[in-house]
Amino acid sequence: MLRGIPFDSPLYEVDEDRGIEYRNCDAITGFFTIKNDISDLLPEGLKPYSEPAQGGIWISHYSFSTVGEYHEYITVIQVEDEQGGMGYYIPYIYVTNDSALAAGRELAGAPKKLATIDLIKENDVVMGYLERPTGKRLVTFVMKPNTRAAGDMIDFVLPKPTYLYSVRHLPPIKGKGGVTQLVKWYAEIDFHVDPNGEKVIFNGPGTVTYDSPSAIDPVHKVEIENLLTAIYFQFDMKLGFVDILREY
Amino acid sequence: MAVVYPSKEWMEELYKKVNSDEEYKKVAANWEGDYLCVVELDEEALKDFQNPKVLKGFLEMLDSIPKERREKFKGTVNEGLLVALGLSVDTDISTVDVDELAKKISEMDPKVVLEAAKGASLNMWLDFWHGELRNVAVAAPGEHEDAKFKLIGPYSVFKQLVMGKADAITLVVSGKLKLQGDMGYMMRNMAAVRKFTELMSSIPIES
Repeated sequence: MLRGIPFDSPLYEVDEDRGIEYRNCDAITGFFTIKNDISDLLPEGLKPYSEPAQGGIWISHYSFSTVGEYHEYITVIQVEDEQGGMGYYIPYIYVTNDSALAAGRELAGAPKKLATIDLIKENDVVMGYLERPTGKRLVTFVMKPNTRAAGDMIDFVLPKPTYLYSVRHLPPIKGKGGVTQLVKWYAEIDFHVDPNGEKVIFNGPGTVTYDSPSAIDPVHKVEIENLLTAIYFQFDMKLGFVDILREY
Repeated sequence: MAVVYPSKEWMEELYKKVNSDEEYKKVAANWEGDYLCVVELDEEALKDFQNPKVLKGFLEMLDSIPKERREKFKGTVNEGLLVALGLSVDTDISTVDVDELAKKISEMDPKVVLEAAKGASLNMWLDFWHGELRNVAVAAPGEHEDAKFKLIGPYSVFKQLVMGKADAITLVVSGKLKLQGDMGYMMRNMAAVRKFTELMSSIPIES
């Protein structure tokens, strides 16, 4: 088991073989082309997968996981690593529970912060939002899941496994003990399948807005040029670790 | 100026539109590869063919295939379509009375025609290279099957795309259009795909 601290009552305990497991989750994801140069957001060893660069926003609710129930907001940039693998670098990620925050930061280097996140279904719309602090609206993502996403394309946007990259950083003290590593991990997403044998993935029109930019949480730095697709889906998931690709 | 879809004029307009767009040149600067669009005959196509202008556009597209290549229709479901419409591969399409044929189609039972021509399609080949549309042409059966991408779907769905009622990525994600080919390459070039379909849907269509 991978355990955090305190040693006698760790904030998280993760079975290294099974990873972090999730059940009965739902999420909205928007995949878009990026308007601005984001090279300064990427660590050495990763480059944009496309020109112009592409990225995404993910807002989810995990009704159960082995690090607890929580909501999550992620900004990703689609990248290629030095081995030619495609995946997503995470410059910004927010969660609503401390166990998920600690496990993500300490094990994968996911730069998680606590924030107010929700995923709401109202009328014909699904809305996800990120606020930090509560009331300071950083992102609103609305979409209308009106069409079954029955094509194969989602398997290329969110393949199984979907690789993720982040930089695990432990600052040195008096020049000693510092760690800065590029970590490759993965999300294995199992889309729910309905009684007709179809994956529970719906697409439809959507809009992402950076409502109120913040210098403290600059998620707006990944500027959206064109939203290519917006999907709502229900799923189970497993997160695990692939390798440390680089020591800086 | 509005043009009829499908027609040679529409293909020519598309060619001009893409090749004069600076943004397309930029976002598709790295693109190398062709598409074969397989537009499957459906009830909406037969309904549209009752309009002599649309029927004329369709027949002129077929007529753009030189006679020796038109031989490739023989023995295929596409020949079945021509036969169902009272034509043949050897028919001199320029002599067809379009008004009369459109009237005849309006009197046909679409289910019978579709059954006789099950799987028939109009195939269009589009060859893109570094920000340029080098060629757009009608393909005979079996031609350009090795295209980098194959986009397959019913006429009614392609019409939505052409008329700007839906975008290509949404139609592919929803499975209404099937895309075959190197998806990794496609993922790297979504901006080019999006811009191309935006240009295509900006051509005014005569109704």
